[in-house]
Amino acid sequence: MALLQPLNPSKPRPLAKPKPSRPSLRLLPQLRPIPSQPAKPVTFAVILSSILVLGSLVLLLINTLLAQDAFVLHRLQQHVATLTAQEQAVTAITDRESSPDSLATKATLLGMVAGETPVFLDLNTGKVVGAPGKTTKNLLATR
Amino acid sequence: MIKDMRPRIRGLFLVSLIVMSIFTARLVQVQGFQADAYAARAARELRSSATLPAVRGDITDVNGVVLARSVEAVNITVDQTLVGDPTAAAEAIAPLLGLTAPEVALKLTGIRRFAYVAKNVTPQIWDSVKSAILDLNKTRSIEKRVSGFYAEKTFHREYPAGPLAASVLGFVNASGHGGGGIEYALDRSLAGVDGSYIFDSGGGAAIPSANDVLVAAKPGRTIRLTINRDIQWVAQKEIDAQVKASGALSGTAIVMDPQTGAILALASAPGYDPNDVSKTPISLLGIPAVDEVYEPGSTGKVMTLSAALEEKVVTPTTIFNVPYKLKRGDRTFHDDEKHATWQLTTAGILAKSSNVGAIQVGEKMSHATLRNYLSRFGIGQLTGVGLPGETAGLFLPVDKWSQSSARTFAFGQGYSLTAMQATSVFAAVANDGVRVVPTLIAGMSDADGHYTSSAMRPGVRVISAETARTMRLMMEGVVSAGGTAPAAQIVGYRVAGKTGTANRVDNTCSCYRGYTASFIGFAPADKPALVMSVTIQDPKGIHFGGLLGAPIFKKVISFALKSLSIPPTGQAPTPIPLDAQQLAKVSAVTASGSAVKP
Repeated sequence: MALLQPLNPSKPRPLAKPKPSRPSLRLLPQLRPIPSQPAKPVTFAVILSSILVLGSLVLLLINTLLAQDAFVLHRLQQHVATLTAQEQAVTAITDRESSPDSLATKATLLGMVAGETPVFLDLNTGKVVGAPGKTTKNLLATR
Repeated sequence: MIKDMRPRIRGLFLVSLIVMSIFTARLVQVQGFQADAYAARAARELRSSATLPAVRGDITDVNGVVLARSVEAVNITVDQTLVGDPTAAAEAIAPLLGLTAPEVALKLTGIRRFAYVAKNVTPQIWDSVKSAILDLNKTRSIEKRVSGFYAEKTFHREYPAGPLAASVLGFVNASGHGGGGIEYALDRSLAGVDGSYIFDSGGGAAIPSANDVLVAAKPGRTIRLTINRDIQWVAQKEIDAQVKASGALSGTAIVMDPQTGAILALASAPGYDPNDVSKTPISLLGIPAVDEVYEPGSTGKVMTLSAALEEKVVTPTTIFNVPYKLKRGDRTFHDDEKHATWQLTTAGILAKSSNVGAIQVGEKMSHATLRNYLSRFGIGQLTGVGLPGETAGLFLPVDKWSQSSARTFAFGQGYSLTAMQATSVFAAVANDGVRVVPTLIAGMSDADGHYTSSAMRPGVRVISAETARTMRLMMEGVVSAGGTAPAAQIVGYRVAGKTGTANRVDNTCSCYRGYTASFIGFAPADKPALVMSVTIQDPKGIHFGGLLGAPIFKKVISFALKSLSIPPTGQAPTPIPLDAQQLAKVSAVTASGSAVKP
């Protein structure tokens, strides 16, 4: 038996992959820049300044609206203050007029007298509860 | 050429580098290290704050009628250095403020930067002052124009009803807090919580929409009292008139619902106008109903007799031999008016208001028992009505009693109480023996209008319902023709009560001088809906409770029965015999008729 055997010749070691072929450099069809008009400095300035003016106008508008609201608010607050003061004044008059003192005085001037003993009319039975009597003097309006 | 400029460029570059480095260093110092301090300083200079005063709550009567309210007001202030022409300014505004021109001119003249011209004027008056100044300036050159007037917004406490219920309501002091009555007692509820407004300002004006913080003020709560304004008015008017007519020192009238303890009227005379406290002497600013003590006198007999009935040591018809005079120890006690020896029943002792009789009834109980009953009726204790300055009165323990204490206690002398305590005693009898805590507060509502009514406090049983009923029947005898207070009768109604004509302790001499005349009663007697006490201190001339107090009771209770629609019960009373003669008659009738117990 031979110690040395020849390498299997039928199985050759794979060879390294062949390198992909590089595209060969070539000249492009001539590129020519599209002829463009350079922006005129005047137009640019107009655009910029109109943005500026427009912005300022919008700002002014917003400010005006805000200020207007403030004016309305101030006017309404003053109105509320006036109405509150009026209400308080009217309430004071109502209080004075509806006070028991003033009512008693007015009732007396109208010739009214206060009843002396409490008497009730029972609406269910139609009966008078209590002892009705004639009032001789004005109980409430005498001081 | 170029070669020559290089050092210069380098030099310039170096210089700018140094300058820029200094700037950068400073920037880092300012923005980085000292940023907080500067921010704080900026905030300090920009930040302003203002207090938003909370509106004090209203006080209303039981029906919601406003008795105290806070209205917007203006304090007009002036910078005297800016006025320019004080005389002309004063002439222009004085009539608007209701003052004379010299008065106003005095306030405008001087070098003070801040002085008050007028306090608590209405916003309308401030507006008219402003336009008067404007008109004045129209005719003047710029340098002669008048200025320097400012408004300080505030709230003014207004009492639309004036002196009505002044002692209950109290008043508000200059610092805007309660100085007496309910205003003081419930100041914390009424005052509310002040708000604040913190804002950025520049040049003295607020910067709009800059970071401002507004904490709205929390308005105070509205207190609803149990007081009925109309009944209060009648009570106030009547007590005023009686104090004046009798030349008395003072007077108090209290109307109470015995079942709930609700006080419908509490009137004191002489009163004061809480709208103008500054002119009121301090002695009038108290609440006599709770801070003035007196010896009850005969109204106290109600407690002695209730105790004796409850202890079953007497019945309403037990007969007593009642002489005019009675000697006990080193003292001789006697009745108000001279009389031959009476043969009175227990009911008769009450109706005739016999001191000697009351002593005899009292002697049937031990000292401790008598004191215990008085104590259960509330003597020597605060009523808990919640008014400031309440006093419990003088009520010594048994071991400190003198030889005569038990006797004087039996007829209502030797201890002291307030009109509120006295009313509460009668309310207990009216309420079938249960004493409830008198109250003035019906409830409170917060700023959103949520109303919470006061919780009813539990009562204390003093005597049995049966004893209370018997006592009421006996007290009807007081108001009968044979009793001491027929003037309290209300036609068609059953009325019960007790007069008191007590020796009054005069604090100036620490002796008995003058009288306390009182009448306490209730109606309808068989189903009590209203209890009323009338107390007149130190009247000159007539000093009997039956003559001074009872007519006021009649007028006020008649009105209250009407306005609260309390009809008569329609039940006829079965009078308890007042003396041996009447008792014999009744016994004869019952013996011949049905088998009714005497």
